[in-house]
Amino acid sequence: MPRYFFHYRDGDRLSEDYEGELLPGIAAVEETAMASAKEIIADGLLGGNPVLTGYSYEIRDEARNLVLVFPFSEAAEKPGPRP
Amino acid sequence: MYKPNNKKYKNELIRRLSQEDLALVEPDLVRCELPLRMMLEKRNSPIEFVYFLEGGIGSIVAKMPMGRDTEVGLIGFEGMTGTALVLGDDQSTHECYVQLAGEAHRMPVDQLRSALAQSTTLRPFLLRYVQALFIQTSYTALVNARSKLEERLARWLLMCDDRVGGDRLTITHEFLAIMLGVRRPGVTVALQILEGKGLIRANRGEIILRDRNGLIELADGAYSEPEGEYRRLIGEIG
Repeated sequence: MPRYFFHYRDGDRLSEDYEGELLPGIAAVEETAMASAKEIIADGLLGGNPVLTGYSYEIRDEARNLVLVFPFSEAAEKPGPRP
Repeated sequence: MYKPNNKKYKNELIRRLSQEDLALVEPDLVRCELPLRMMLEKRNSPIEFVYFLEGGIGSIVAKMPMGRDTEVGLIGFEGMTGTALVLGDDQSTHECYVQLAGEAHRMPVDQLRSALAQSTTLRPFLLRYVQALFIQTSYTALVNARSKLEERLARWLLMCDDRVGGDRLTITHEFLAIMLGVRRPGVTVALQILEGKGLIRANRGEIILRDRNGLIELADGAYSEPEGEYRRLIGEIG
């Protein structure tokens, strides 16, 4: 299985994921991003914050090729797997 | 509080055994390495060895389908595995495995059972640790229900730091995700929040604690209360 790195973008700031995780393919990457973003948004709401839609995951493969940009707004608006 | 008399051991429980209890268990203690991911107890299975940790971190993990495993107990050199045995059970409900490599003294369960039967003081002492672990777990239940992700992360980092020494932690995000009960990518987000507050520095798999007091404040009582209870029940660490 290939390893994917979920870098987290908060405006100009990029927090790098040095560890990555093994996933079978792009569908699983998107599902993981969706579930994770839903968790972060839910946690923020419970902490009294507005929905954090300006953030995104930039997911790269081991060769550092960009595989997917996943804006958190998608997780706020679309259904997805339970986190 | 118990005085640490047996200073050649790093395990806080072994250090505090009476001379009589130490004489009972010492012949059966075997030093062993604890490599990352080593299984110390299997879910719903008889316990084979009890581990008195000297270093590293063991994690009691409750399993749920779809990767929703969650840590319910953290053990380092202040404690032991096999608390079910002290309580009269012979099997473990949850998995317990090594999340940070270290060392331990291990003891076969039959020998510990026989030592518990021979001594009037060993079980009461170990029960105090069982109570301390129970208190830790009850605070974990509280924070998992009521604290935000970054507050839970602050608590876990402090708990790991207590068990590792030095201000640098090399903990995988995979491990932190289980501790926090979130998907792994969320760990990067939570670390960034603490970094943004100037409390830690996260750098290539290494987390440096920059402001312990700030982390304690953020954890909002969930960190220091159980640690105070450990000191009351067992004694000072280190």
